[in-house]
Amino acid sequence: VVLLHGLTATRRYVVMGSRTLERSGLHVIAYDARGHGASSPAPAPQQYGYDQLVGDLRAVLDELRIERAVLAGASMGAHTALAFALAHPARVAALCAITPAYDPAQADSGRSLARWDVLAAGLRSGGVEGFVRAYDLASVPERWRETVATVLRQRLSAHQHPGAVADALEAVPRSRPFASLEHLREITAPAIVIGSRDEADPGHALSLARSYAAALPHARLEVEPEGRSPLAWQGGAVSRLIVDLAATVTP
Amino acid sequence: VTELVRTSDGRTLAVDSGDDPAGRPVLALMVAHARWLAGQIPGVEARLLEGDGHLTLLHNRVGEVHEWLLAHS
Repeated sequence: VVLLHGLTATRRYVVMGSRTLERSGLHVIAYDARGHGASSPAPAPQQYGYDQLVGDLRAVLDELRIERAVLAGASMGAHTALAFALAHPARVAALCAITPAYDPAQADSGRSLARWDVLAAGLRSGGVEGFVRAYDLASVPERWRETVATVLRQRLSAHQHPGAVADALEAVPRSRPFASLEHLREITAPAIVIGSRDEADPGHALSLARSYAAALPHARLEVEPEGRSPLAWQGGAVSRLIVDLAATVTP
Repeated sequence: VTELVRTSDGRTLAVDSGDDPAGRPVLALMVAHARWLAGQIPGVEARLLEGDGHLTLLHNRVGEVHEWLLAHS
């Protein structure tokens, strides 16, 4: 199983430190995306697009001599995993797409790009606190606000090259992992899409997760019951879904 | 075990593969769930302790736990 984290996160932030995958006997690989955590910045600020992210996943699999793997990715990591599956279908045994955010219909909208640019500017000018100030915490329900602020501070503090994360914040949302959701119909691997209710996580629309699950031919959607904390934030619960998914894969 | 994998454009990626791939747990989320759990139990007395975890509780707090139990028995 290869774990792919989201934009501004690091390799810890897919299953949140859960050991369930290893305890289930799976070989787990987790890496920091280019510019994030302990990985190097890209050679140029524009080189954080999905072409490069897919190439990096291929490099990891090649280096570790893994021909075929289950891919589990959150947000940017989910888009990367899906783009990889389109480019290299034989190398993907199954997919777990956690809270996808890329909407091909909205990708070029100035409003959504401006939101990312504000975060990049906040991180550049004010470091971790600048990022937290630029983040629209007021849009997060009060019961989650403190948790979200703490997690933002923790994960933003984990980067060796914050300037590279700011570059990625500008480049990733301008890149398209695939042109339309119709392309996902080509992916024949078994899949799970994990969505979050919009109350806790409006940045990853539940309607979009539903659309991904509908477009992927062999996918099912998993969402927490109403009023409960997001499934996507519960590393153990996410891991158990990945274990179930991996069990359906033929070697 | 963290190792470095070279990308096609000559950079390196930090990759964990083996016994400790995902690093330490994300404590803030665990606290959030403890808070949620406390909210589900009527009359609960929740003590959410900064800096304590699953194992340190046994080491640091077991005296308090026994006192609480005795006080309520």
